[in-house]
Order: sequence, then C-alpha cells, then structure tokens
Amino acid sequence: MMRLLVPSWWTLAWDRFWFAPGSPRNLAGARITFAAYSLWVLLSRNLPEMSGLPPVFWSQVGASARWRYLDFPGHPDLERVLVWITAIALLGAIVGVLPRFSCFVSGLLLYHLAPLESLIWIPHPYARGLTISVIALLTLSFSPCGDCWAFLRPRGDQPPTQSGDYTWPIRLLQLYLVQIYFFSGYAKVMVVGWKWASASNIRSWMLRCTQNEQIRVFHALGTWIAARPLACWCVGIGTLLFEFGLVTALFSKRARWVLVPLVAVFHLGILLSMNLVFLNVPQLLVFANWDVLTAWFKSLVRHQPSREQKNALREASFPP
Amino acid sequence: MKINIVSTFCFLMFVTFGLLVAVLGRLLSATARRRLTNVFLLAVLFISFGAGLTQHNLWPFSSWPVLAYPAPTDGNYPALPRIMGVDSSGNEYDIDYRAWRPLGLEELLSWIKLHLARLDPAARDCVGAYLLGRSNLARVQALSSAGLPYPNPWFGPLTAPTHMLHPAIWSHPESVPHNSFVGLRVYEETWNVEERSHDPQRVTRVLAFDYRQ
Repeated sequence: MMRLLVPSWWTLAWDRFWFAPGSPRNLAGARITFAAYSLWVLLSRNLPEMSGLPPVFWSQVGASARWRYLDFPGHPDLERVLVWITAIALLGAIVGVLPRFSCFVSGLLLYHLAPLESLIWIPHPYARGLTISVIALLTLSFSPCGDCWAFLRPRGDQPPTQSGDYTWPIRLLQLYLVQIYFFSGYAKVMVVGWKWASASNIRSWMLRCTQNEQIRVFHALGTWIAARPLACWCVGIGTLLFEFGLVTALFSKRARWVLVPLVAVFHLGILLSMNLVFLNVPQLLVFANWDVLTAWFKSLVRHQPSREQKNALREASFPP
Repeated sequence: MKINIVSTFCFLMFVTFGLLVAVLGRLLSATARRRLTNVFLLAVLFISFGAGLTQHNLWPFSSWPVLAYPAPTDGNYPALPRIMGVDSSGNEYDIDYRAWRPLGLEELLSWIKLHLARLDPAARDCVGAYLLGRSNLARVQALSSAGLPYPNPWFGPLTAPTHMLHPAIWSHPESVPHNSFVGLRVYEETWNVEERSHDPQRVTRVLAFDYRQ
C-alpha cells in the first residue's frame, strides 16, 4: 500500500500502461478493424438524404448544433460527395494507402456525417455505430499506424520493431471501448441508483421492450426473463458487475480472456431479450494479439505450424 | 447551446493536441516526444472522463447513458407515437419501418414526439404529405417482385441494423396493403406493462395527428 504514495511508482505504472513495447501489427490490425467497421456502418446508412429532407424536419435544429458539425439542410449532393470521399479514405486506411492521412480524413468527415442520422431531434448520435469510429480513426491518424500492413507508407521501408509508440494508441482505443460500459453502468447508478438492478426494474424494461410492437422482433427470451424474479435479479446485478468490471480488461490479461468474449455474449443477450443492437462488437478485435493471430493464420496456410507458433498460440491470444 | 460550444471546444482540443503529437513529435527528441504524448493522453482522459463522470454528452466523447432511466413504478411509460396509413375505405394499416428511409423509425418517432405538436398547421401538413408520399412509394416497392430495397444493395441482408430492431412487416407481398393510402394518422399509445402482460390488447390510443390528402 505504501508504494501507492510514492510518485515514482505512479510514473512507472503510467509508463508501463501506455508505453510498454508493443507490436506494429496490433496497431495495423486496429486500423484495419476500425476502418472496415466504419465503412460497413457508413454505407449501411443513407446519411446524405437526411440533408435533403423537407426543411420542416430541420426547423427545430438550433444554429449551434448545425455549426458544431457544419451540417445544414438542402445539400444532399454535397453530402453524397463527402460520403464517397470518406469511403475512399476508409478503403485507403484498410489497404494502407497513406494510412494516417486516410484515417485523419475519414475521422474528420465522420464527425460531420454521423450526426446527420439523428440531428433533427438530438445533437449527439451515440449508440448509432459511429461514435467510437470518429475518435478511434483520429487517434490512429496521430499514431504510426501505417508502419505495418500498408502499401504506401509516408516513411521509408523500416523493419517494424517493438516500441512504446505502438502501445499508447492501442491502449487509448481499448479505453474508448471500455468507457462505453463503465459510463453506461455509472449513468444507471447516478440517474436511477442501485435499484436499477432490482428485479422489478429489469422486469419492467423487459416487458416494455417485448410488448412494443414497433421493435418486437424477438420476444421469447425477454418474456421468459420477465416472468422470473431470480432471472431479473441476475440480469440486473450481472449487468452492473459486467459494466463496471470490464475496466479490469485494460490491466489484466486473464480478465481480457474472460470478459472480452463475454461482451459479445452480453450483446447477444440484449439483442434477443430487448431488441437493442450494439454494433461495436467487431471493434473488440482491438484487444486481440495480431502477432499471434498472424502466426496462427500462417500456420493454417502452410498446414504445418512451427513449434514457436504453437507455443505462442498456447501462451496467449491477447497482448500483455 | 452551451453543450454544443463545450463539445466543439473539446473536439478541437483533441484534434489539435493529436496533430501536435503527430506532426511536431517527429521533430522532437524521444523525451520531448514522450512528454507531448503524455499531454495528449491527459487531455483525452480529461475530456472523456469529464463527459462520462459529469454525464454531459460531449459527442464524440459520449456519456453513454444507455438505459439509464428508471422504469415507472406504476408501470405506465410515456406515450409512444405510432404511424398508421389510411386507405380510401378508411381502413388503417401499420407501415413498414423501411418506408421512412432515410429516416430511421426511432429518429422519426422521437422527432414526432418532440416537435410535431409544436408546428403550425401548414408545417404539419407538409410533414404529412412527405410521410404519405414515402409510405405509398414503399408500398408499391414492397408489392413489386424485388420488394423493399436495402439501403445498400451491395450489403443486402448484411446491412448494419439500426440501434433498435424493427419487424419487417412488408417482407411478403400478401402482407402489404393493396390500396393506396390517402391519409396518415399518428396515435399516441400508452399502456401499463403489467396489465398488458396479461392482455396484449390493453393499449390506449389517442389520435395526435390526422392528415388527409
């Protein structure tokens, strides 16, 4: 306990967390993951058409919200061009053509485009799929994310080595994802209190989501949970424990092994019981160790894994 | 307005510090670069935890208030809008959520709930005419052999869904109304979750908007 009072301990811990030697492959893997995911969501929406809605839909949008994102009605053609520029930049980030510049351009343009989805009634489009993409792509653009798996790199050919410069951006991306759950749990406790986890509250949410015919696609699991107080208590307490506990995945390899795959199960449960979709699940690949995955993939291709690769695979699938 | 200004300032701070790390960092010694990166990291921590812990949504630094609302103790949730198409015989039909594209159903319903009643009659008619046009176009598309198109034809069924799932009620031509809509009605639906768990029909509907062509 005494060591916590020593400033140098905090400095060392800070450096160990943010700047431990890391692989350029992890950063490149994150770049490809976030760019591919963002491209998928961007092209799944009709964002330019939102600018072309009749002016009456935009009549209640304040000037500060419009200027904040430079989103104005009546320019669907311009927005269409911007969507194409963003898509091309994201493709550039995926294949590694000017990867940092591509990440920067796509991150900035997504900051402008993503709010179009909901701006007519709310100025912050969280939970619609592109929130983390904006800050993640910009963070990647500030880091040497093009040092590996890139066709065109701004620097010359340098053999990728382990460096702390490859770690802090990955840690930051992991933090963005973990914050979703932490703040989600925090908001529940702050707004509703610990009684959010009570059986009556969970039952009410389950019934509301399964009775609303406009969102009811799945209803069997939600109704089943709502009918069982014990199941409701488990869902409530389990949700808060999970949302607060996921922070440990930042610091503990063992927690990462257990909790990160559980995120996918958690969201599958929410989907089947409450009909709510959380698109960011593929972004969890930022927790993967791409050195190990690459070795595994190569061994699959060659059909004869080397002893080192087997050992590496056995040892860990997540970075330290 | 305040939150828009603060959010913009935080985002600009994030981009500025990030650019300093990316551009200036190359010209500095390793120690100075590390120091600059630390400043950037501290700025990001300050903004992101500031947004989360104060529960002020500084998007893209969000406070993530997911389901952070209390369920009403009496089981009566606030009213939820529901849009119905009306044909020339006066029959009412539910409309597939895909009809409203580019608007997502949850965005449209939230907008209706917040703003429709505040509009003057001419503006409300403008909304009604637009939504009626969208619903009739979607009805024709749903009746065609190709069906209602996906927002991105390349992705098809792999298109990213919206935050809330919605049943695709016009997936089969036999479930699509064959007559054109001549009007639209918006109802506000309320129900008590406990009562409705015993009787699914126990819903109270209040007509909030009636548009005729």
